[in-house]
Amino acid sequence: MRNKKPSTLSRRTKRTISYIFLISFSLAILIPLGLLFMNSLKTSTEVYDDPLALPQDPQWSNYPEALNPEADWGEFSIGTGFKNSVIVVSTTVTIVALIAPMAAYSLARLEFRGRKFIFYFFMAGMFVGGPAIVAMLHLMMTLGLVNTHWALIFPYVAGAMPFSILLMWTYFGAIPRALDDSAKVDGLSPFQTYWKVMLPQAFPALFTIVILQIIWIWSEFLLALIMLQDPGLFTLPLMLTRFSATTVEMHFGVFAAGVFLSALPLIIMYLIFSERIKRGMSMEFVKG
Amino acid sequence: MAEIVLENLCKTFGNVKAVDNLNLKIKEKEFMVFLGPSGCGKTTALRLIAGLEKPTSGNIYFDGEPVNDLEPKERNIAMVFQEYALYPHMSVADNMSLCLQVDKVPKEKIVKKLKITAGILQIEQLLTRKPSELSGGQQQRVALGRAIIRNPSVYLMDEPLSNLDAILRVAMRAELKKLHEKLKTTTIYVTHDQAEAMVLADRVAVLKDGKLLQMDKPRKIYDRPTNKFIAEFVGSPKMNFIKCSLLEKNGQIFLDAGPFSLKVSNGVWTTMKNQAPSSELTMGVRPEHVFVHTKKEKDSIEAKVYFFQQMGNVGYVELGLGNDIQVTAAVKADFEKNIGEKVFVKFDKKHIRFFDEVGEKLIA
Repeated sequence: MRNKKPSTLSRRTKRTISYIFLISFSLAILIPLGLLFMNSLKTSTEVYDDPLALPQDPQWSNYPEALNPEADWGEFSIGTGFKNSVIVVSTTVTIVALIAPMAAYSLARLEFRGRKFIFYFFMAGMFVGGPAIVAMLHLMMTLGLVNTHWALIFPYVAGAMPFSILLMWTYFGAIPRALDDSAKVDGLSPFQTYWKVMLPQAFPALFTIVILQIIWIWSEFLLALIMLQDPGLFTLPLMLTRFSATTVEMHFGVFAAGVFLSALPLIIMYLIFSERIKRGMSMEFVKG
Repeated sequence: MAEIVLENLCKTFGNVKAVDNLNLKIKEKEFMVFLGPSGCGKTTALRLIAGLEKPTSGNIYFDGEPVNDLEPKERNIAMVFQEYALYPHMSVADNMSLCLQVDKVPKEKIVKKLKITAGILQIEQLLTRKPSELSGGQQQRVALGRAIIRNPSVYLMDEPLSNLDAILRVAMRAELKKLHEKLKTTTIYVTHDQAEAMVLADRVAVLKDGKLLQMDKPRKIYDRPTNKFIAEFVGSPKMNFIKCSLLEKNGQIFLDAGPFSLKVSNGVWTTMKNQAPSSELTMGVRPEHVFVHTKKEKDSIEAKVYFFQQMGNVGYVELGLGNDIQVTAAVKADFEKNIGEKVFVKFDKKHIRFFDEVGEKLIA
């Protein structure tokens, strides 16, 4: 019993420290987000008068205006950026979700020559750093894809593959071999075995991949900046940057609304799916 | 219902011979058990029959037709796996009927077959559940159901009861036997549990290091094991072994084991003379054929109690005969001798077996 008190105390201290840390961290994120939301409901004059004051007459119209592709903001439209981002993200994620599980399944469960080499080749892709962007630009120029959405989609897919394959490979590798035998005895073809037996069991990993890719690609800026010149093709992060550089003084409220809207899908997605992402990363489904 | 013939069947993995020149015939409707320790090649042999492994050499015939190049599905087999291998994301009904769905069997027919199979195994109430919502015994029934529903010509079972607890295993063992009586389908069952083999098998094939050591009816294997390994592996506790030499004294033949000697009958002697490679032998006697007496009787051997195991309905007493020989005897559960006390032992001569010195061959 004597030993119990100090350990309880130390646990309490630990908990207090972690609460302080977590609350500080949350405030560091929530305060700017709150300020952004507040300012998105103000006129530009209000913002420049006192950025910390509450909006006197909330300008909800800033939101539809931010999204309106017809709105006259020079050549930069947040609505168009939103639409472009949706196109690029959805195409990339669809391709990754189709290819990565199939590649991972083959590498994890099928016997063929060079399997290990191919796997390590994919894994090496995780260590490809920033300078590769120059090579990618060169490649896209050669292919004539610069200034098209494909110049983003292909590199995004390539960038997403190593991690996606690794996660799915781990999942497929943990599925008992007896299930393959069972499927063979049941008369399933190799593709049917993948589609009907293996893939459904790896859904948590697939889901995690999809969500993580959406989060990463949605906010990707550098590649978009290099590959795109036509404002009509700009993705949201690029569009917002250009918008802020040109018209933000006139329309700060609309700009803030655009920034808030751009962050909103990710915030909502994370709030809804954070548990599933964690489970997907920790392989709880396979173990269960 | 199929007759299965394995002809010079070999399977190697790298340098390891998992199955080594296996020749055997499994009769139609027979319940054949492959029995052996871990790594003896029994599961590999079963997988070869299933078509999940390709033989390195040799042939497999189903009803006289070679099936070496046929896929598992084309062999019309059903397999029950040790870990059940149920699809975790599917309901029990889907698990059981997937093979029929793949075959594009009409839905009404699938429903009808599901109902009949679930009825046989008494799992009607489980059809909508997922495997994770079932107990071990229920999962085992579903795995059996998945095999039964397709009405195969051969059932292949790979240690299907080994993941169950002891009580359930005994109950399922009986159910499997009844099921075989009902379905009358050729069944090959792999196990390392000799009790399972004894209860279930019409015939048992004992394997070791990929080779077939003996194939016979369970009782025959228990009574007349063809070598020391089988005598040790089949039966619990194992058979007692005593090294002895053949001696001739005053025109009579004796087996001399050191602390005691046994007179050998003329019939046994004739067999031994013809079969034994030398006068050095290993005598084998099962614990139930070692009789323990509290008083000295004619031809009894003095022994000392080393240890007593109470099993409830029966007891096993370990006895020392002289300094070097130790035997186990089956006694009544109320055996009342303490450790170190003196008893007298007689062997049931009818059930003594003789092996050559190294135990490779049964002599008599």
